[in-house]
Amino acid sequence: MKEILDVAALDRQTGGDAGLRAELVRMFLEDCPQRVDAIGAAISVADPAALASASHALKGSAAYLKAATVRECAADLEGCARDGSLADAPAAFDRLRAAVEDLLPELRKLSV
Amino acid sequence: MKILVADDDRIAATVLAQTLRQWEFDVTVAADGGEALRHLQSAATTPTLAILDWMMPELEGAEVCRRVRLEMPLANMYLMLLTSLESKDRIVAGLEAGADDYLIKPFDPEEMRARINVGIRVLALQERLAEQVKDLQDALTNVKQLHGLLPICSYCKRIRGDDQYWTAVESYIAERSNAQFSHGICPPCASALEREIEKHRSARQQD
Repeated sequence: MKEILDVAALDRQTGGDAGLRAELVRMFLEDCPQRVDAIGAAISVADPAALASASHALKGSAAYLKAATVRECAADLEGCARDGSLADAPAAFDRLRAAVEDLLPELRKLSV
Repeated sequence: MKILVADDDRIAATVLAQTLRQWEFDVTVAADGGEALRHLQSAATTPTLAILDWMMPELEGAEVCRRVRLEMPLANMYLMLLTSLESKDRIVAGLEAGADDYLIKPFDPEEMRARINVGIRVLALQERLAEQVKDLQDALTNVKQLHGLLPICSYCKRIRGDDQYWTAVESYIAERSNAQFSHGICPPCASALEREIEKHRSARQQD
């Protein structure tokens, strides 16, 4: 099981710069809901290009935040879009939403 | 040292740019491939290092590399592509498009620092080579000025220049090269001159 958020790795990524860490967390908290919505919308209209784009964006930012579970779920969704296997996407999307629900409170703790 | 960062994801762009600023680089951020290409075109005469995300709107990072190499083949630019772990198969395509190196996202700070140092070393080497080529070209220009068919007076040895004026051979060469003249007399001329003086002296004694 991947870690929902690896704070020590995030600190290594930001070179111990607390201001940079806070800025990244703030951006992620702002952007994440829109990206999850975009992924949901792409699945509901069965648009693989939009799904690939939205899940790729979430995967990239989750990777910098060291949010491994969300990153992995987003990568699975990007894989579904690129393979054209959209049938697997709703289940992967459920896993993503659950991971995001776990992640956001952890990030909010860091932004206090 | 100026570094261009191009990434449409603001989190990726921020963490890249801030990390580079922590290392005291002068960072410019572009939000898409088109903006990145315009920055690189305007910096064509300056050694530049660029870190380009592969997937960007307008132009992908690899396409930016291809355009830079096509449009500015002599520009001193070190181009690094960012790609995700799942897209490692793109590395060959990126290098063939004109990238010098690549980084896997999310970048490891120590690895990125080491790869940037390689880029800076390559840029500095290219810059020194370009300076040496310019010095050689300047030297060749001087040599060229002494090439070709020179009209010379067979009596006084003056040379006719492009301006149609007749110039003493010393002046002509001195103006077109780094050569300078020190005047003296060669042994055959000295002997001839001595004979001439002796001839005049004998003639005067006979008078």
